[in-house]
Amino acid sequence: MNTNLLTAVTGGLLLITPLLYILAALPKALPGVVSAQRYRARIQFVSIAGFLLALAAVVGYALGAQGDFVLFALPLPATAAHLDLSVQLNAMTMLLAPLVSFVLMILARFSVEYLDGDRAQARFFRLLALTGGFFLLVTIAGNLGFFTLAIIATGFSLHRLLDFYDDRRKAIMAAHKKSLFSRAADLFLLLASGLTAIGAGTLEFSKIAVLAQSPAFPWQLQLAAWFLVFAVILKSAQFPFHGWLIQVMEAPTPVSALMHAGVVYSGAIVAMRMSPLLLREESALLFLGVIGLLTLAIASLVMITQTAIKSSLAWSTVAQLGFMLLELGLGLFYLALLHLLGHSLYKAHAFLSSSSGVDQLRQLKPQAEKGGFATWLLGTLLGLAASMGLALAFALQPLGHPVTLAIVVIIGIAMSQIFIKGALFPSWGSRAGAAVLAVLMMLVYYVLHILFHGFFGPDFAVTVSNSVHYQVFAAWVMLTFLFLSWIQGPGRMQLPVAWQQSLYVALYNGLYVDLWIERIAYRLWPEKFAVEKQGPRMEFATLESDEITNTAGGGR
Amino acid sequence: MKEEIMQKQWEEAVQQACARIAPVWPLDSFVAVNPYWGFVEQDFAETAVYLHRLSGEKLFLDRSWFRQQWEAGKMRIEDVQAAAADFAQTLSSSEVHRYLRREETPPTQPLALLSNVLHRPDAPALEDFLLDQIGQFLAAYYDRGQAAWTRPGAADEQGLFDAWRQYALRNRSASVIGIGDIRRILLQVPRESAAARQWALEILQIPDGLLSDYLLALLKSIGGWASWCRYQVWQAELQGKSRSDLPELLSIRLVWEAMLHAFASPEKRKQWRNGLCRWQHGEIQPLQREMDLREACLRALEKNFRQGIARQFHRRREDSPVSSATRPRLQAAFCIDVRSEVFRRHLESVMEDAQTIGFAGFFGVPLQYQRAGECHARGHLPVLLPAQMTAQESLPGNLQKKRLGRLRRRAEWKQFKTAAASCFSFVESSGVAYGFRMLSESLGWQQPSQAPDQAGLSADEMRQVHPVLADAAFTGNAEAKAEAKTELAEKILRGLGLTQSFAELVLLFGHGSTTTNNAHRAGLDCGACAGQTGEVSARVTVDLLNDAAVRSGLRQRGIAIPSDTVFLAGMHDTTLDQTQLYPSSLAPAPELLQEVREALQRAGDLTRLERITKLVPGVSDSQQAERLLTWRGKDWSQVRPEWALAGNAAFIAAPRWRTAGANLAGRAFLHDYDAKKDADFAVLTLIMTAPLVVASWINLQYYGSTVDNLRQGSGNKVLHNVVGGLVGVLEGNGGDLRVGLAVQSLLDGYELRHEPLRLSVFIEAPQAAMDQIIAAHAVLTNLVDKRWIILFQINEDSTLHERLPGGGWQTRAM
Repeated sequence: MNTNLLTAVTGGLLLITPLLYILAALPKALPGVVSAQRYRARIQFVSIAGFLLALAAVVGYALGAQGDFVLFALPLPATAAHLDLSVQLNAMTMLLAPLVSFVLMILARFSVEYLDGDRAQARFFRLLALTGGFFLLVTIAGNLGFFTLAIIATGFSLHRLLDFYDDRRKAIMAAHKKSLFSRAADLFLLLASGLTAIGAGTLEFSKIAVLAQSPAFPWQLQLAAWFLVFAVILKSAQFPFHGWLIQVMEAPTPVSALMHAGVVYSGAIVAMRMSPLLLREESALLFLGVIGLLTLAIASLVMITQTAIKSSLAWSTVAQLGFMLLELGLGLFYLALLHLLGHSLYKAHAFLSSSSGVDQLRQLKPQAEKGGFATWLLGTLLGLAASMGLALAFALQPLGHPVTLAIVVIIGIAMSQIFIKGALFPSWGSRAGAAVLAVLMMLVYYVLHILFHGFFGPDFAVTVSNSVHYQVFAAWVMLTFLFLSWIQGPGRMQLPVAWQQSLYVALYNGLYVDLWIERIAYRLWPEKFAVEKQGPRMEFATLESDEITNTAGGGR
Repeated sequence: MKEEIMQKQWEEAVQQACARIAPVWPLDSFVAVNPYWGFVEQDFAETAVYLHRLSGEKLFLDRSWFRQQWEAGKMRIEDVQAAAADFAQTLSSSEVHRYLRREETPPTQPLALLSNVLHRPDAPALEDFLLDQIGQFLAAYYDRGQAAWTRPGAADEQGLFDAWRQYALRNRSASVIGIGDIRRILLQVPRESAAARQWALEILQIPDGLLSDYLLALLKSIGGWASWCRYQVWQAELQGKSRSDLPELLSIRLVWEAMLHAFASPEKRKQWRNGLCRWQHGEIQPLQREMDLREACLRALEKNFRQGIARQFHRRREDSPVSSATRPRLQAAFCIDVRSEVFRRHLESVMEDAQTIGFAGFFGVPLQYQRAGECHARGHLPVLLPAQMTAQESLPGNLQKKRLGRLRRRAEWKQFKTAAASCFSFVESSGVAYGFRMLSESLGWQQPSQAPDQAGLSADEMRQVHPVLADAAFTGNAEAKAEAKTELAEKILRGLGLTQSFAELVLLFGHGSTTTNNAHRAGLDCGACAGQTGEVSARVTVDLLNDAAVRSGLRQRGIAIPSDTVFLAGMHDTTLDQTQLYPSSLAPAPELLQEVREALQRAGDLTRLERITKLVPGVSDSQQAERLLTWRGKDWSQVRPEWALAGNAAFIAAPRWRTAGANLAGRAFLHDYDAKKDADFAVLTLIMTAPLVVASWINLQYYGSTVDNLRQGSGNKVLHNVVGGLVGVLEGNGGDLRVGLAVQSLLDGYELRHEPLRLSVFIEAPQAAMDQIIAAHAVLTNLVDKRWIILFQINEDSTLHERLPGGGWQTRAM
């Protein structure tokens, strides 16, 4: 087939899905069974069709579709740039589009029974479809301006999902906080877009990539890179701007899943799309990595102190996003993509199945001993040695590159958790089993690492320099992971009890950051939260009362 | 001296306030609790007035609901008038009409806590802040498996209050949110809970006569966690120990109140004191009248419901479709749970000469159950009773080893998944696998977790696991043990009313549920087995009754079990209405077994058809019903796998022939009772003091969750957030621990599926005997006299008599 035609078809396939979602969300969502049944049937159908279309687009890509598919271009005043409705057809898009449509398909199916009987179920599906549709545009956008508009639209419809139960004071608070950070991020994105349009004369990701290689690098683009990094930090709920993300369980579970498995990656996505620009402005990229490292260290420790399952999952997302930004900061964009894929699927599942934790805790618990420092040290050394060995075997050359070395050390420390746990098993057989599992997981990791490098590496051609900054940073990363492993393992027990308590209280309260933000929010918008506390609506719908809610809430 | 008297009064007020709080059980044994357990010595309508005034808590639905019931023909105006007359209220029918049409509640202000008065418009509500702070601490203190980094306690920690004080001294939240530096004050607070309480009360100087109300209002402001602390106390008391978690929680809340007092301006303090004074002298007559009238409406509704039940009672044994064979083909005992009523009715209809029996699902064996490899046993009996013997899980040694190995590997995987240093690499190496998992769980091929007792074992391997009540569970020498076993068996059989005409096959059914991704799974299992499935109790009982030595002992005691009689244990799955039978040492004749299996299958079909209409309207094909219900059981997004005990409103203890064939729509607890076989009324006493009380607990849990879901229910399931691993659920982000039932268990979004009615109790026994039992048990006196249940006697001549509050019986038309 003609390549141009193939590209047009593939790009068209990717564009149809979000449009289908948005079209399907056009009919009015009425309270009541009939509207709910129609809505959920329609959205479920669209979600399955959307996933299949995304798979078809992948086939198109495999057959040779490439480059950008531009539907139409809107000239922007005062610059040479155009605001294009364009789709970037590269490997990254081919991963993101099926991933997001898959998650949406699962969520739509899940919400059918989960919210069955909720009088606003139709409205829920409408908002789910709108948010999903807009977010799909985010994942395929080939143009910074288009991306920005799509993410702004996503933010507004998501806001309505977050205060879906708008009689809940906490839901309103969380949604409001979210919109504060979201608007700030949007502003940075708009500024970055404007500066890029002026400085580069284009908003197309692919063209920016080419321009970033050229010797001239105007100040507008430098500034745009920094604004972009700020936007990414805000969108990714990085410390200390994480408060809104850890409170979104005021909305139904599928909304949490949608947030944590999708929308929250918008920052990472734009960073990857704009990677050439960021690589050019390396200090901005490094800053991103530093924030990521800080966030992951704090959030992963806060996570393990949490006592409510959804809070723990939310803190885990904050930490995971920190890790992803760390990978971005290290210039390992393809690994960040691997992380995005894995984490998206894992976290969607974790939220949806969060009520199953009870069953697991009711199960028989085998007696477990606690390992001491020696066990920890031994396990860690074994893990590091194995990881290093495998990395050498896969020819990753960790010794010459501090960044690669950091990754190898992270994997080694992670897998050593299995070694440490396994060392406490009662028999040599089971200990050997644990060791085999650890090595196997490392093997899986390295294979994926290589595969992703192969598939997605070309999307992000350049890597970071081997500067002193990066050498210091890589060392800092390795030490941080060593510290995390130690403090959760034998480390905290070795501290004096008073220290343990102080550290615990501070972590358990998330270092109080969120309370600060809440206080400021109240100062500025007191009237927003003046909602009376009410019970769930236990009134028994009659036809009339349905009519009333209908007229009152029909516009929503 | 004066100080001592005052302190004593204070402590009495503390005791009084704490006694008002009902316990809540954790998610691994989530049984029903009467949320008004602390109020049963108080009159029903009075309690409504009191709770409404204290904290705005509701004990009735609004007038509009009653109006709807009247419009739907479920409530007659004359009945309301008659009931109102009992409260010395004379109403004409037009007055009743007018009453029902206008929605209003006399204005009342709840008792204002200092934290309510100090509300600042430009800051988060203090009550929310305190709730989050205290709740978060309690979650850490009681955490049962969620956090990997648990709260480090000091070595000399003295209990809940002291732990909180240590925690609060290090917690900077109050200054961050703008209250002030509480640590300065906290350092002056004694470490010991009671002393801290005194310290706080001296600062607060709450007016005399108001203290216990104020303390209760404080506890109610953190009511869910207060119930949790009450549970700790309850469990300790059941084992003859003592704990003081609830008073210590009160100390925490009081110290907060006193600290706020220090930060409050003089005007605010005055405003607060004036509020207390106003509350104390507020007018309550309009509210009393309102609540009396609402109870009158409730009684009219209950009367209407009762008539529907009583109309179906058979007047003579001959009229009843019950089997009259001298030796039935089959006897099958079920738990009194309302869900078994439907199944029993259908089983009797499909198998002639089958006799069914209703009895509490633990079959009277006061068990606890210990799984292999676990050092703790868990209760397997109604939570009101202490366990007296331990049954053990038994399985082949190599299987246990295999199971432990698998579970250990799972724990190792979990560590890898959740540890701070490895969760990132976990996601990268294994995250993709969760995509496949999500797909297969969405399609029902797989579930997110196995049922708790099946973990680490395949279905085939599960068949090799069985519970054993070993001789070691009984005390004394061999002879005494044999004697104890026989005595237990006798007690069981007499309780079941099964002392002669044994069928060839006697089935004892436990019940359980099949649900997926449901934090409240235990709430659907057998309440008489402390929120576990009834399997262990049924199997242990059957083994006992099949034991040759026990049978010969029974013969000496006058109970002759024919040698060809076989007992078998079974399981009734209430979500799927499927049954399964467990093998035992004796086996029945194959053709009989086959016949019984077919009957059970057909009874299941009919039950499913009856039940499915309430879940998925318009299904009339039994295969489709089975398919749909099976799907609901394994669907991880299902929030309404079954309606469980919704609708329960009656308790009937009578011979089965009275109700045989009657369609009670799964709304009645059916306990078999024959006064003729119960010369000393020992069985009647047992029924009235145990199963009846438990049934009323269940009934009032449904009642409370329906009329005030915010305080006595657990809110919206789609927002549930499991806290402390097994402790309970929060709704959304934080706030109070939620108790009771979720909205989804009561309401299908459009219609209430549980009509909040009090339990109407029908017992076929002599009035004098019942009067005696009621008088001898304070709990029953309270429940009956204070109108928490409505008691009727079914007389031998088939007339009905209502037990009047305070004594005396009045004939009611049947």
